[in-house]
Amino acid sequence: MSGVRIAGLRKEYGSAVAVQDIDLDIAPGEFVALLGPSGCGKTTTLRCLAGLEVPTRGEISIGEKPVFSAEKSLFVPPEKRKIGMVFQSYALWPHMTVGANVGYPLKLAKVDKKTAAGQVQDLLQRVHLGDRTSQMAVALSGGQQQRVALARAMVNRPAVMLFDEPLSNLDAKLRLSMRAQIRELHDEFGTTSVYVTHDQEEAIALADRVVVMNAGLIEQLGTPTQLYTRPASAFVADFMGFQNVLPARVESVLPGELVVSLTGTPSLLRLHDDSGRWGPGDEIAIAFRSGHVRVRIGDSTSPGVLRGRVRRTSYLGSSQRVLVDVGGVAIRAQVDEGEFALFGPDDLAPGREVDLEISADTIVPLAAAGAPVAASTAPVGV
Amino acid sequence: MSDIETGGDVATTAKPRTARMPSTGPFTTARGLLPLIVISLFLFALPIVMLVVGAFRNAAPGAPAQWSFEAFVRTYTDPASYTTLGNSVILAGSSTAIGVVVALVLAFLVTRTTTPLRRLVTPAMVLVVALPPLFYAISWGMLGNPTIGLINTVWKQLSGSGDALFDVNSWAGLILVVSLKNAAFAYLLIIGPFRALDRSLEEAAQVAGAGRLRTILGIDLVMLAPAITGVTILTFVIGLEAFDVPLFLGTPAGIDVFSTQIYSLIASRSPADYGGASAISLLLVVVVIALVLLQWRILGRRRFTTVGGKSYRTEPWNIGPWRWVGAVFIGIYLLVAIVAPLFQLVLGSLQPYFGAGTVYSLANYQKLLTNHTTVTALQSTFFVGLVGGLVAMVLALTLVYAITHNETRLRRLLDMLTWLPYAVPGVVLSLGLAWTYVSLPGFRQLYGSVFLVALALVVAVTPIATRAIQPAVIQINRELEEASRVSGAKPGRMVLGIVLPLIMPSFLSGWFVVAIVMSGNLAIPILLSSSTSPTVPLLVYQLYGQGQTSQAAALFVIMLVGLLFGLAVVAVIGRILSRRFGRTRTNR
Repeated sequence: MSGVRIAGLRKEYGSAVAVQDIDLDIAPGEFVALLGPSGCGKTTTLRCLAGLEVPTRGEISIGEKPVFSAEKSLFVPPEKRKIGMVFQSYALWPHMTVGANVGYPLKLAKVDKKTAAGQVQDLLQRVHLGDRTSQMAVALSGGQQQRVALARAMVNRPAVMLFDEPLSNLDAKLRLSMRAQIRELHDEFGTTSVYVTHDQEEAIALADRVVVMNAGLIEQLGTPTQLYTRPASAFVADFMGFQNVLPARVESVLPGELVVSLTGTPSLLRLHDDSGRWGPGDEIAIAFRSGHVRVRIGDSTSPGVLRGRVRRTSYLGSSQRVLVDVGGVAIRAQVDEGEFALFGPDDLAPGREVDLEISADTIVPLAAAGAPVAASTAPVGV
Repeated sequence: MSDIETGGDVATTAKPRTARMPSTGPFTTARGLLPLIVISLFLFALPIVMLVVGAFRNAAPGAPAQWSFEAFVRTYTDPASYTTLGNSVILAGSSTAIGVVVALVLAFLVTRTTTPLRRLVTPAMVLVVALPPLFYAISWGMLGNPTIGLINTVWKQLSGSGDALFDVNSWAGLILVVSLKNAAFAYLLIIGPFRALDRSLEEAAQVAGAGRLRTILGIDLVMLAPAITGVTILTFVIGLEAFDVPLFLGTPAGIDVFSTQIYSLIASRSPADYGGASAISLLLVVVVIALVLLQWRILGRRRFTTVGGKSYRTEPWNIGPWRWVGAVFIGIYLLVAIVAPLFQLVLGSLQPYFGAGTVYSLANYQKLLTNHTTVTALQSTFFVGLVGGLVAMVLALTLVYAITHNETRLRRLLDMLTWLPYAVPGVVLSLGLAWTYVSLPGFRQLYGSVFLVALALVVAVTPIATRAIQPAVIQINRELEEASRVSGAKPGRMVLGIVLPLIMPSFLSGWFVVAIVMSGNLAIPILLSSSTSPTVPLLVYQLYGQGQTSQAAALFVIMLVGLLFGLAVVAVIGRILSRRFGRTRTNR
């Protein structure tokens, strides 16, 4: 087993900077997903790891062995890195059979034919393609082709497996079963895996740790739970599916709690926070999911309730989206199927008054978009 | 992780002194491209530089000389030079006009009508383009001979007249024969755009009330205008560069064009006027490069690529009785471009001497195949075609691969360099190469040998070879190569195991085309070959010049049969390859 260490990685293409500065340690046996929108540098990082790109600066080691160092002018070519890689386009060689495709790494490693044939068959059976060995690779369906590609990448028991958006060409149903297969093989073989995707759901479902990247930098690094519940920036919150990311102002700081006002409204909200990062008067952002906003009819007076008017609704079958105008700020809320009975036919019609309850522990305080985190830690005298 | 214990010695560890940028493949960096740039400069650019140098020297290549404007002044003040220029323009212009019109009519008949015989046109055109210009020079030289050529003997018998109908050694003959090949060339370039035309635009015009003919003239021709203009320029360039046909048919009639003038300045002057030949060559090079640049501007960077569009299946136009006119037109073209010359060539080769009545035998073939010189010439020609062709294809593959995989601006330079030989007519290239190789120690000793001829032919066909292999290389998904590297293949192994098998069909057919062009080429060996080791085309020219027309024809037939045999071998190999893939594919 071997881990991966990336330090100060930078990759430039002419004047364009694809990866600015990446530091990342991956433990042996860990499954790490690189997540981000297109152009964020995740694929470039993966390709640098594979040796398919030469980084501009930095160091990479696989296991304890350095494979790239700009300072020492060291570059181990991809064929010497003992890695397996699954490509977005499957990249099966059309002039070879399924068996020849999977067996190619073994042939190059000069494994004797009999052993190789056994290993090929073993892997093809694991991906449920044991009976397709002698077929031409391109005669298979997309999902089958990607399973062949997976078998080929793993056949030589690589220390590190790299995945470059392997499921993005497959349909949704196939994606789920392939996902399970990939994680299963990872656990069984005990490899270290690095998985590039732009799909946050895929990253969360697969990985032990998720690295969210943006503009060539790491935005946040954490477990799926951390990312899902406590995003560290407005960018990550938005990317992780927080429908509401709104500017707010800290009104007072209580032990383990903040009281904030939505910018532009007098409404106050309470939220849990024991970081001690914020002081009264700080401009921050708050993020919460529409599913955590409860819509109520009637005049509730409890604190932490926002009053607004329905602007628009859209019916999604299992739920109903409600866009509510709270003093000029649009808040996205959601009514689940089980709550439909609470509302009369016209209760959510545009213009109707509603109350929104947001529980304090589902609101995440964030540095205001554009403002560096460090600035808000400076003492602000009020 | 201990898997990479060999990492230390396989890693490209550079000493600080020479600390250089590591690269993922052999050609990705500027440094990786450098050897190829140097080779290309030597092969493609140096001959033209040497031509310029040669024009300003007052002695033959290799001899000590002073710098001088003498050759330049002499050539450019000589009215004969301008007569030659005029002749070249007349020949290129008229053969282009005829060729393009014939090509357009045929392309229209093939793509839009129900004319009988239309399915024969495209294969016939491929054949006409593939046949060496020398084939047309010799066969039409025989066919249109005023006294004993097939055309005139048949005419005399039919009409009872004693006068010849047609003398091929004339402006009319010259233009006719050059037009035949130009028509085929223009056709193959224009048929793609013709097929790719968006039929819905045509239908829109018809719905708007335009008649069929009006649609063709007002919509189709207008939309095809850029393509037609580009093809016209290209065909004009080919007409300007024509050498074999003017040499065989024009020279006897006293018609000199640029390329034959250049040749005669060297071959029929004593001492040879290398300075004058170089000076006049430069004028031709400038004109051709200007035209090629113009054509690039018009066709964009598409050049030879035929526009691939959706295949629309619309009802072909039933042109009624006109289709019989179309069929006759196709028939006449097939007759004069393929059937008659081929028939005359074979017939003439069977006569003891050309025009010897109705006595036919294989005596010429026996004589040729037992003659040491001709057998050697055949051997060296097949060597040039097969080995030289293979070298040309490997060079072209390396260049194309490097150009497509390089990430620096240098790749543009390399791309331009590989196009240079295309812009230089054969005789001029031959002259430039002569200057180059004679001036270089080590190459001077090779002068006149078949190796140097082969090298020069490799240079001449590189543009064709690169264009034959480029589409196949571009089509390979880069991830197929990367998957191979990650699987443990070194770059060389990746090319052999993945890239080469995938492009093999294109490589084989490219090899075959290149072999034909190389073995049928006369312009290069005519200046670079010695009389002791001629190639077949040179020997054919010499025999023809000595009046041994029947033997020349027989020799050419032998070469054609050899090439045909080569084609069969390539076809069989291709069939075996595809069958092997096919069998495993159906083995579900």
